[in-house]
Amino acid sequence: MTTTTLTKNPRTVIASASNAAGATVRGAIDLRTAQGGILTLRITNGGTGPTAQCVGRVMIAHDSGTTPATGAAGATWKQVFYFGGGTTANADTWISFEAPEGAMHLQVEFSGNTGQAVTVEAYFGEVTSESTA
Amino acid sequence: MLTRAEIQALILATPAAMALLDAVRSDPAPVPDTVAIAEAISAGRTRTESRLIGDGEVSLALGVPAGPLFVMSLEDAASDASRPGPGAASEEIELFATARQAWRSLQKGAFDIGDSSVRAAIDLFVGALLNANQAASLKALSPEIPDPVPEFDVRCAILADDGSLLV
Repeated sequence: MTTTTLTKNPRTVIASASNAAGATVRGAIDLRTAQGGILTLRITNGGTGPTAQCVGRVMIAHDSGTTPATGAAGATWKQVFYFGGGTTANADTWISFEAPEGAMHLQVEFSGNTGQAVTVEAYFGEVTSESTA
Repeated sequence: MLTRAEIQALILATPAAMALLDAVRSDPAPVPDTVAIAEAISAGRTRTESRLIGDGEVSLALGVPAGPLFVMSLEDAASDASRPGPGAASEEIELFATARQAWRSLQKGAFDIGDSSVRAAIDLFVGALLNANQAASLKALSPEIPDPVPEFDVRCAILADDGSLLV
C-alpha cells in the first residue's frame, strides 16, 4: 500500500488592508513550480458602505517566464473570475477560487469602490509537490 | 425620489445633519454617519399614495347627510348654471374650473385623493363647499405616511468618488 503526501505552502497575494475610495490594489504570485491551490478572497465594507462596490478580480498570465508586472486585465493578464462586495454597510463577503495546475502566474485586483474605503485581502494555499511512499 | 441636489439642500438646511458632517469634516478619509444623517433629514417628511375614489367614497367619508350634500354642491358648482360670466374675478373662474374637473373625476371614480394638486384643490373648496374638518376627512382617505430619505441616496449625495465630502 502506498501513501501520497502533498506539500503545501501558504502565500500572501494581498495582505489584509484598507483600499481607499477610488484606489486599486493588486498582488501577484508565481505558480510555475506549484501544482495549483486554493485562493481565498475577502471584501469587508465599513460602517458606512461605499457608493459603488469594490470588485475583486482573479487573473492568470500565460507566461513561462518570471511573473509579469501587475496590471489591469488585457494582453498579459487574463481575467478568470470576479465578484463584488456590494454597497451594504458592514457587508463581509468571502469567496474562494480554486487555481488549477495549469496556472503559471496568478494576480488578484481589488478596485471600483467609491465614496468609502473597504478592507480587502487575498491569500493562497498552494500545493508545491507530492510524494508517494 | 429626491435628486442628489435636493438631498444636499436638505442636509444644508438641517443643523443636526450638518453637525454630523462637521464632526468628520477634517478627517483625511471622512466616514460620516449616513444612517444618522438620513434620519435627521427625514424627520417630519411624509408622502401620500395614489388612491382613486368616486363620489360614493366621498359621501361615505363625510357621512350622511354631509357627504351627499357636498357631492350635490360640487355638482351644482360645476354646472353650466354656475359658469362665471364675462368679467368674473379670476378666483371665481378658478373655483368653477376646479369644481368642474373634480366633478368629472369623481363621476369616473378617478379623483386621485393622494395627488398633491388634488389635495390643494380640496383646500380651495374650504369655505365654499367644505369646512376644514371635512377637507381633512377627505384627505384622510389617503393618509400621509412617513417618507424617509434612503440612506444610500444620502451616502451618494454626501460622498465624492474619492471619498471627499460634497456638502
